[in-house]
Amino acid sequence: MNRPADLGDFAGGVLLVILCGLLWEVLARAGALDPQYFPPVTSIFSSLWDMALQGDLWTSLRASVYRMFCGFLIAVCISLPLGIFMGAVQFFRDLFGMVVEFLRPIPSVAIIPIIILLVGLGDSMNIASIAYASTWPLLINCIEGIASVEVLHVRSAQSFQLGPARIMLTVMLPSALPQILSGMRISLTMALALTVLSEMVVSTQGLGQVILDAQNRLDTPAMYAGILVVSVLGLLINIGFNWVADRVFPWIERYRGVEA
Amino acid sequence: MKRSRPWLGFAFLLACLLAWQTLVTVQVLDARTIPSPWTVIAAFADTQQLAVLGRQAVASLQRLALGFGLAAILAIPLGILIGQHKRLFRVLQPGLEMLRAIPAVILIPLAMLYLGMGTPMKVAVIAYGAFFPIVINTIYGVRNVETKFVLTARTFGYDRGEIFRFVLLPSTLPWIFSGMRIALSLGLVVTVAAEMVGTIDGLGYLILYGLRTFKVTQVFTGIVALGFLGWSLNKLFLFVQSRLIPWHPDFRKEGR
Amino acid sequence: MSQVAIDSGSRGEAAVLEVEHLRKVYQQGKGETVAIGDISLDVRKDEFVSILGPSGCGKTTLLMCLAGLLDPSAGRVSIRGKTVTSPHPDVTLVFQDYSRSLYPWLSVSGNVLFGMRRRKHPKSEKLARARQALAMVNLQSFESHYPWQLSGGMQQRVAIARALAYDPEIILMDEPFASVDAQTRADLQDSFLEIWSRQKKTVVFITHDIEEAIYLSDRIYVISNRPCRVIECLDVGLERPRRQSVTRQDPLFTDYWRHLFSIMQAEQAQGRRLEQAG
Repeated sequence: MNRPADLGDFAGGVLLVILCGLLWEVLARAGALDPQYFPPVTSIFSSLWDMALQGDLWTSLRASVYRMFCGFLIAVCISLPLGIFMGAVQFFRDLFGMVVEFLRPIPSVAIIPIIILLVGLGDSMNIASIAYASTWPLLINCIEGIASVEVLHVRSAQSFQLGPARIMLTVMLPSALPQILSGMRISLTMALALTVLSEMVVSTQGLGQVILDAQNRLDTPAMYAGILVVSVLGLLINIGFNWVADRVFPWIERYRGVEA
Repeated sequence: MKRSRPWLGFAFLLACLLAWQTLVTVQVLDARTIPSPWTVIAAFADTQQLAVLGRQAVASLQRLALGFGLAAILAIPLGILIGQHKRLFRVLQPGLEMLRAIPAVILIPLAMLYLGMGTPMKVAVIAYGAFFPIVINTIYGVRNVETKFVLTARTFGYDRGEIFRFVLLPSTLPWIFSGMRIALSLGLVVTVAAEMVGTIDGLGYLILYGLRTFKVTQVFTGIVALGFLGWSLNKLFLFVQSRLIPWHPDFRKEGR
Repeated sequence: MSQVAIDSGSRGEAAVLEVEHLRKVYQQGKGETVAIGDISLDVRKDEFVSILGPSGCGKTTLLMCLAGLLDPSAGRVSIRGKTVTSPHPDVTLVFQDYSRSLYPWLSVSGNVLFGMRRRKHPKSEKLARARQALAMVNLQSFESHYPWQLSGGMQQRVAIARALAYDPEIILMDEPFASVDAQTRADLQDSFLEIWSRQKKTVVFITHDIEEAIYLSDRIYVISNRPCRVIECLDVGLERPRRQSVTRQDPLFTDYWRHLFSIMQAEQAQGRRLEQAG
C-alpha cells in the first residue's frame, strides 16, 4: 500500500489542504470573504497561540481530556464484560435484550438532562454523559463480535478438551477482537463529541466552553481555534488508537471507513 | 444456537420499571427530579401533551430529513466519482480525513454565528455530520467492486458507461445504504444536540426546556418520543432497504 | 524445451484460435514476474482443448489474454487471423468462482440475459434464447430464483447457460468445475460434454485435474510452472461419447494418466525446488 505513487498522491493531498488554507487566507485578507465569518487562517493561529500562552487553553484541554478518558474508561469497564457475557451467553442476551433495544434508539445526547437530574451539574454530569454515550457503540460491537464467532472455531476448541474460560480467552476473544476494537474506536469518537457537547450544554470549564465563550464574544478566530484543537485531538486519538492496536494486535487487518 | 426467549427480556424490563417505580414511591428518588414510570406513561394519555410532542417531533423530523437529504444528494454522486478515480481519492484523502475528524456537534456554535438559531443552522450541521459516513462508505463500495464482475461484463462487450450503470451501481448500493444508515443515526444525534444548544423547537429543545422549567415529566416523555422516533426511522430505513436491495445477504429469507 | 509436434490426426482444419509466442510479464515494485514465458498453441474449430498445468502457474493469465482482457507483453493471440486486442465478440469466458461472476442483484434469467446485450436480437428472442440455454443446463424451472438460492453446482450451470445464451463460437473456461464436489463435478462434466457435442462449440478448458483433462478433451496442452511454456501437446484418442463409468476404465485412459502424471509430478517437484531456492 505504500507504493511511491500512493505516497506521492497523499503528499499531494496534504499540499492541497495547505493550498486551500492559503487561498482562504488570501481571500479573507483581501476582503473577498467576510473576515467576520471567515477569519484569516493566520488570525486563527495567532488566537490559538494567545490562548496557549495565557494558559486557559491548557486548563480547558486538560479538563476535557480528563473527563473524556474517565468517561471512556467507565464505559469500557461496563460494556466490555457486559458485552462479552451477552455475546457469549444466550441467557444474558435474552435477559437484557429488551432493555437494550429500548434504550438503543435514544440518542445519548438526550440523556444528558436525566443525568443532570440525577447527579446535578459539575464534573460527574459530564463524565456520566460521556460514559453513557460511549457505552453503546462498544457494547453493541462486543455483543455482535462475540456472538458471531464461528461456531466451528468453538467446536474445534471444545474437541481439544478446552474449558469454557480457555475457549473464551484463546478463541472467542481473539476472534471478536477486530470488531471490539472497531467498537472501541467509535466509542472514543463519541466520547470526544459528548465531552464537548456536555460542556456546551451546561457551561463547565473545558474545550466546549472555550468555543461557546468565543461565540458569545463573537470572537470567530477563537472559535475556529477551539474547533481546530478538538479536531486535532480527535485525529490524534484515532491515529494513536490505530497505532497502539497495530502494535498490540498486529495480526488484525483494519478496514477503513466502513463504520461511523 | 439456543432459541431466544424474549419473555425473559420482557420480564427483566418490567422488573426494572417496577424497581424504578418503587424507588420513587418510597422516595429514594425524589419525584420532583425523577418522575415515576407511571407518571410518564400517564402523560402519554394526555392528548394535549401528546399533541405538543407530536408537533415537536415533526419539527425535529423535518430538520433531520432536510439535512440528511442534502448530505445524501451531495455525498452519493461525489463518492461515486471519487471512488472511481484512485488518484483523486488519494489526493483528497488527507483533506477528507481532516474534515471527518471534526465532530459535527462542535460546529453548532459556529453555525449559530453564521445562520442564527433556526432551522438553516440545524440543517447545515446535520448535513455536515451525515455527509461523511455516506461519502466514505460510497467510496469504499465503489473501490471494492468485485473484479470478476467487471471482467465478466467486459467479455460480454459492455463498455465503460454500461459497466458503470449495470455493474458498478448495483454493486455499490449496499454500501451506500450502509453509509446512509450510519448517517441517519448520527443525524438524529446531531439534530437533538443542535436543538439543545440552539433552542427554538424540536424534541431536543422540548427535553431541555423541560429540564430548565422543572417539568421533569416532559423530559422523560420527550426522551421516550425520541426513542420511538429513532426506532421507527430505523425500521423504515430497513424496510426501504429490503425493497431496493432484496438480494442483499441481510434480507435473504432462506439461508444457504 | 520445445513444443512437441502436434499429431494432426485430428480434423485437419485451420486453427480458429492461435497463440503465437505469447509472453506476459508483470511489473511489481522493483522486480518483474514472468507469468507466461513463451506459449504457442492452436485450437481448431469445434475442438475441445484442455490446458493442464499445476495450480498457481499462469493459466488464468493465459485465459485472460485469450479473452482479450489482458494485453500480452509479447507475441499475439489471434482469432481467425485477426489479432485479439479487446474482448472478442465470438468469445466468452466462464470463471471458476461463480459467486464472484454471477451478479447477485439479478435473477437467474437476469444473469443469463445480461450476457446477450451485445446481440441484436429483439427482446422476445432474447428471452427465448435464455430459456433455451437454461433448459440446456436443466435449470429451466429456476428462472426467477436468485443465485444465492442455488447450490454451487447450479450456480456454475447458470454461468454456463449465460455463456451459451450468448452463443459464442469459442468458450473459454477457467477451472469451472473445481469449486464443486466430486459428484456434481462428474454431472457437470457430462452435461457440458453433451451440450458441446450438440451445439458444436470450440472449447478451451483450463484445469489442474489430469483425469478431468483426459476425460473431456480432444487434445491437451501441458503447461509448466512459471514462466509458463508448453511442455507437451497430447492427442486424446479416446472414443466419444465419453462416459464416466466406461471411459475411465479404458486402458488408454490409464496410459494417458500415467504419462501426464509423471510430467506434472516432475513439474511440481521442480516448482518446489525453485520455491525453496528463491
